[in-house]
Amino acid sequence: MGFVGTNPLRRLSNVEYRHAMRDLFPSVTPADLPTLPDDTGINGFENDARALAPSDVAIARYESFAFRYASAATESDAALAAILPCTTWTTVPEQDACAHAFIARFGRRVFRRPLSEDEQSRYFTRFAALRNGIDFRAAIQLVAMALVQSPQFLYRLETPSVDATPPPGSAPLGVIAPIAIDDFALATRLAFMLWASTPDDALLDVAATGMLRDDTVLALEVDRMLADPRATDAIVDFHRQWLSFDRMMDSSNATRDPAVYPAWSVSVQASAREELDRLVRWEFSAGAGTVPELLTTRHAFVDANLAALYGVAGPSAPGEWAPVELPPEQRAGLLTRAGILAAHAHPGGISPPLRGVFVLERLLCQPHRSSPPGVDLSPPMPMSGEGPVTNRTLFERRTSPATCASCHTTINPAGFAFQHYDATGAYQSLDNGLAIDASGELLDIDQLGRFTDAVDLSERFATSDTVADCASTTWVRFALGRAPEREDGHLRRLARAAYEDSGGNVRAILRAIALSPELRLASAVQE
Amino acid sequence: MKMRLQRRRFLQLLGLGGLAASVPSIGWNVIARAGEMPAPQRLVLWITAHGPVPRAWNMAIPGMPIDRVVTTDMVSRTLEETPEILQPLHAYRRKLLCVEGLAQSTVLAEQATFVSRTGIDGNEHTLAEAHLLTSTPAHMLEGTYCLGGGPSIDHVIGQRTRSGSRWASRVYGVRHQYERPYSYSASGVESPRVETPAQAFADLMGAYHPSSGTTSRDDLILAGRGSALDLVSDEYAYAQARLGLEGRRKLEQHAQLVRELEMTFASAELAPQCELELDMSGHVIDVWNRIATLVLACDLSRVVTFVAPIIEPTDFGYPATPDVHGGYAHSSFDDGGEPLQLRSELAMIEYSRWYADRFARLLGMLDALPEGSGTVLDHANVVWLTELATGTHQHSPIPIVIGGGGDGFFRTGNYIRYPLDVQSPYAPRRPYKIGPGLSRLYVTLMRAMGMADESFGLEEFPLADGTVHSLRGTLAETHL
Repeated sequence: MGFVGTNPLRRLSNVEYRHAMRDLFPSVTPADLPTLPDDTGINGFENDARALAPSDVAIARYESFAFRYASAATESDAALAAILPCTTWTTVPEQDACAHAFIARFGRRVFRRPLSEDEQSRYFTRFAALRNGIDFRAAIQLVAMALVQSPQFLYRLETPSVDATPPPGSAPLGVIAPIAIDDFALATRLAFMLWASTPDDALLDVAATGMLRDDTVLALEVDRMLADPRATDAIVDFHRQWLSFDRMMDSSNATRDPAVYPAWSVSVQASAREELDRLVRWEFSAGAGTVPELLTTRHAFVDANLAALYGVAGPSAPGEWAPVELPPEQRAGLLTRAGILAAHAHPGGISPPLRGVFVLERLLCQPHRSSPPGVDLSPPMPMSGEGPVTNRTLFERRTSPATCASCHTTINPAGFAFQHYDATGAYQSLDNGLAIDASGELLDIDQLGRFTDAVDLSERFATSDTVADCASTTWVRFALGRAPEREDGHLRRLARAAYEDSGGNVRAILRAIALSPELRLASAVQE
Repeated sequence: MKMRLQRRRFLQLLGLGGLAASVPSIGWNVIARAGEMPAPQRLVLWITAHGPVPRAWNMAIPGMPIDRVVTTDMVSRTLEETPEILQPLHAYRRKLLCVEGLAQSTVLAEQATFVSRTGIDGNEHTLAEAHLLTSTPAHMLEGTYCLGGGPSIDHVIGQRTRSGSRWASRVYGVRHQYERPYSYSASGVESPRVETPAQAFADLMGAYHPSSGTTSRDDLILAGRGSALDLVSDEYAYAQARLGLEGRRKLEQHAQLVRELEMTFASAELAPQCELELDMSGHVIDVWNRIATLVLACDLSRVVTFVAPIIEPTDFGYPATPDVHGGYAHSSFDDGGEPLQLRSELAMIEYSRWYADRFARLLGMLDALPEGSGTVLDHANVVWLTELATGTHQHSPIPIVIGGGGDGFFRTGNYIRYPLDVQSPYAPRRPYKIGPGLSRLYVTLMRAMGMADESFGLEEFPLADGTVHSLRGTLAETHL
């Protein structure tokens, strides 16, 4: 305990940036906001410090974002009144006082800490020049634009606590001891981990007292934040990244072979994607809020497309969604939903290795395995003159050579579990008129035993230590914005214990990380 | 809609005249009226997915040896004598150079090393994508397919030949297979890509900040945005104080980009052939071609990379099928892999012809703009390439079309065939010999753009017989 890994300088990810801008300008919702260039995903996560490099495209888009928000927030006296901490700004002295107060208050929100006297002075000097050159409203607009393009906003710069000295003997010789970060840096870590957004005034006020790092005070704030709707949004977005929800919208999933899957369309594709968000949001707002329930619940939200796909009664009007319970023998939780099943399939048919690799890498944190060079990756076909053959038989045959078996003895069972779902995610009882075998066993991964199908496998995953390890470690990775390092062992054990003690409750895991001593520490140098 | 900018004096009004004096020209007035100054060289990389069917792309050169470089004239060939896939380009044959026989040598070199290693992404397709513009061993990250192992050629040339253009380079379009990019600003760092023509045009408009000729409130705010950026860039210096080397580097890089953006808020003359309007009709690739033309004509960038969307079979007259990749590409060529299907071969020929037609349209747009003693096309190197040699994942021979020719640098009007005379370091199926490396084309392009580099990416690799295969030097036969 008391060791921390590296502390790379992190730029706000696109999600964090959009949320922060939304929360800094709550009174406006500008139209025509530009798109931001994609953040490179590392292991699926967009907030990894290694991937967040600036580019000329991004800088121009930030300027455009700033312009649109600040313009909308200052377009009239009424709009100004919503953001200014003053009621009159007619005379120059009134304007000066108002600007000072605005820079201090808005600046604190943007910088996530109070501005220093020098900073306050720099921004006020520029305000005065702009006010004299244009007018008060434009000066406020442009100063606000400058603030939200500053490095103090776009990057998570962390300041050491004023009394930050490493405890004696806290690190072996040759290891640089960690230091305590100040309460504002702690507030920033909490806000981006729990809300994927900037700290609110209440959190900054607590930080200003210097008491945020106190265990009792910290616990109160963390519980307040976990109860906020923004926490649910952040948890949904975490799952989007962890379990690759956006893969459903890849261009390759817009089409399915119309001869085999006539019902597929871009509308069904969009519905399948939306269902994932609705399910996760329900789980972490109205449901138990646990990973096991997410894997096993039959609760679902369907529109007309998905009602037809799942074979249940549902709404008929376009755009209308309704809760349903799915057939328990056909469906379990997230892994058996169309947005996962169809996203890991080909337009012409299913690929057990695709689905197996997804389960192994994302849910079980197994290392990425790729095909050796030169292998035939085309869809396996029946032999000439051969009668009906199942998809499973074709893939078993293709992956039986010794060079393939070393990986596929693990990949295949994880993929074959989903043989009952075609390339659209619809349930099928037969494959080419033949009975389907979806049974298997994941060797070397827990003692799950032999499962009969994906529903059974999902139930077993709900009590799996490997899933628990993977989920809790992945949350640590997300919180730190980098891959876990050796020094993060204690933090990982805390998160894992929280998973165990709470039955996989995600808020409990987050609470454990938020209250950990490690979150209040940083390595001495921020890189 | 033509937009005219005038030099403004807002910064003087603010009493920040010193700043105004220090804002340099951003190069928009560099494009010459006829005869005044040499026109800038440009590079366009126009990338389509899935290599063509060789028999429909390769030029028939009967009676000529296959063990040495052969150059044949294209200008005198009739349409019928031109390979099927190149026929849509026939009208521009005087300004075309076609090159047959190059190899993705760096991919093959990396594949050869996998024979004795495991756990590394050896997927032929993703490796090809990582290597296509980087020509260097791939970058591996946990939990993902391989990425480019270094900066890509468009990034490198753009950075070094920028000369005051607003942007060093632009990347437009989509990602291809497995959502892998081609352009990289550094190892593992994808270059930012603009996904839609509408956003690209908004960027273009954003790069120009027109004045109505008065000092209206809007004009003053527009200039004030530059002033705000001036304040912002100073903040980056203050913020670096407590950071380590890597943190300072990140912030300095960001600050530099802010300063470059700030400079665009000064006014400048538009280039004479620059008209800021965009026709959104037609196929999305037609719109992208117009965007690329605008960017070059307005000298906003001298390097443009366009990754073309993969069209549907119905676009080129074939029935809808699962997808082009699995449904047609994999069975379009007999190389000892997946069995050839004639229907797939014919479909992929039509697929490639469709793109050839769109490439020809881009050449036409550029050729319609007078510049200096010729046209914008004459001062450009417009390169059509594919991420693989064939639809069956071959890495050799890669077919290349160069339009424009870089103001006489390339020997346009010709078709050049390189011999396949080097034992491939990795050849699980035919062909077993390869020609010069694709990275030597990139060295040649660097030379065309005024750079003196002798290599790009991996410089050499060992062959099975113990000799060393060099990837240095230009393709001398292609240029003067």
